[in-house]
Amino acid sequence: MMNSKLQEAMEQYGEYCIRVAYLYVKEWTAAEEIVQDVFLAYHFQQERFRNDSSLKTYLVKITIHKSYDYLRSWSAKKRQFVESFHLRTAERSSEYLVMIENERQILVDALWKLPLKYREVLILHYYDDYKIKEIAEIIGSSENTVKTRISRGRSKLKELLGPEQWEVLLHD
Amino acid sequence: MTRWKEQIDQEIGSESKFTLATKEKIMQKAAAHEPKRDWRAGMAIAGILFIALLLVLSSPYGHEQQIQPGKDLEQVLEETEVKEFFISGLPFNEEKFTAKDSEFYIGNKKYDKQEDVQFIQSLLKSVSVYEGDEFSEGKDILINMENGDQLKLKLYPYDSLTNMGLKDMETGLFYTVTNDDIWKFYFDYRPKFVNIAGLYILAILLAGLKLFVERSLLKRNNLQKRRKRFMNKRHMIIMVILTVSILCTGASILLTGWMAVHKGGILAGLLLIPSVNYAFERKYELNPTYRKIDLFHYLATAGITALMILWL
Repeated sequence: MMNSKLQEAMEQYGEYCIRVAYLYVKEWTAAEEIVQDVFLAYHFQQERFRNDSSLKTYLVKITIHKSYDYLRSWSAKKRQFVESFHLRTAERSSEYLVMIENERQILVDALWKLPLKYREVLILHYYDDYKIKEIAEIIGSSENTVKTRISRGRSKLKELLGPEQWEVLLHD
Repeated sequence: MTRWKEQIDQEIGSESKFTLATKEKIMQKAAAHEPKRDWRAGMAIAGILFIALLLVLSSPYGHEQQIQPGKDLEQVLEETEVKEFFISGLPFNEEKFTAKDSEFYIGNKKYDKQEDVQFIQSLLKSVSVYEGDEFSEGKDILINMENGDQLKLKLYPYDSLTNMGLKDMETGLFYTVTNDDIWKFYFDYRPKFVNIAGLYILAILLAGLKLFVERSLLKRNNLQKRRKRFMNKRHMIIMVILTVSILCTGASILLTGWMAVHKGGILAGLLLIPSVNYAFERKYELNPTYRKIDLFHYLATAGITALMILWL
């Protein structure tokens, strides 16, 4: 019974949660570990889910908390340091420029350059389609704070993307 | 909006990232780890039971005083003298006797000074049996005698300031007392409540301080005030029933005097509310910071209420 619920939750929201985790931590291995922890937490503490919100929102909340835990961890900080060191060295090589050209992640890269507090609300609002009120509940801030962060995040993102890319985003 | 989603999915890859291997890993871990029992929830329940036990023990049923049958008022007064006496400050109740030989009971005041003892002794020396039972409002008084005997009397104002009615609770006999100093009893031996206005101001100040601390804790921890104070419906129902029943019991005792209540009982009753709430929040694993703030909220409320009641 318990396992069937877990399987059902994984089938429905596994892919979604791993993508949300990735957008927070920028690493697929870490995102996979996070999503494992998320479903195990859901499995072992199913009584905590009280149907106040949808299961999707509940799982996203756990994913965000686990992603924060990871970003605060020593291993994440060490990885960021090593990555930035390699990046500075590689930037000088022509191979790096070719690699960048091949793996263009314009929007995602720009999102990662944003501080987490802005990135988070933009992901939840534009990628996860959550309303302001729901985001406020998920991240535990006021609706006004969320609105301000979305507005500032958009401005910063616009600067990072440039007018052309920004225009593309605005049109379906 | 969908453009964002499409582009992000395109950039991070549209192929499935949540693989079958990941699913299997989760299923294996789920099967391998049995959920651990939370011993702290058990401790909280044990705490609640202990408080409930304390509540029962401190009630009149747990503290029923020994009655020494066979001696009437006159006989006791002939044999020995008054040592000390207690007057109940609770409202008069014809059916109940609320004076107890301890100041740990709500509204109970002890008198053991020489002048007080001599005064009550002189009143009792002039009793005479009264045939009738038309007395109404009065006071409960419990007298401890030098030889260990106890007198449980109901004292009633009579037709003038020099007369008083009296009922011996052991024998059910009525007496009258005629004494020129009876007026002193009405004026000097009233229940000495503290300055109620001062107490209200203090309670309001403390409530304001409590609110300020709560808000500061929320702000400091970057948390919003919870929209739902309860974990689920069962939690809400139990908390409402518990709070309402404790408050109603307390109010009815203070207003009608149907029971003498030990101050420990009041304290236990007030502590029962934060304990039950804490047990629920632990069981359903509310965010620890919210749990601490809630515990502070309930303990501070119980403390302020206790201050208001226990000072009486």
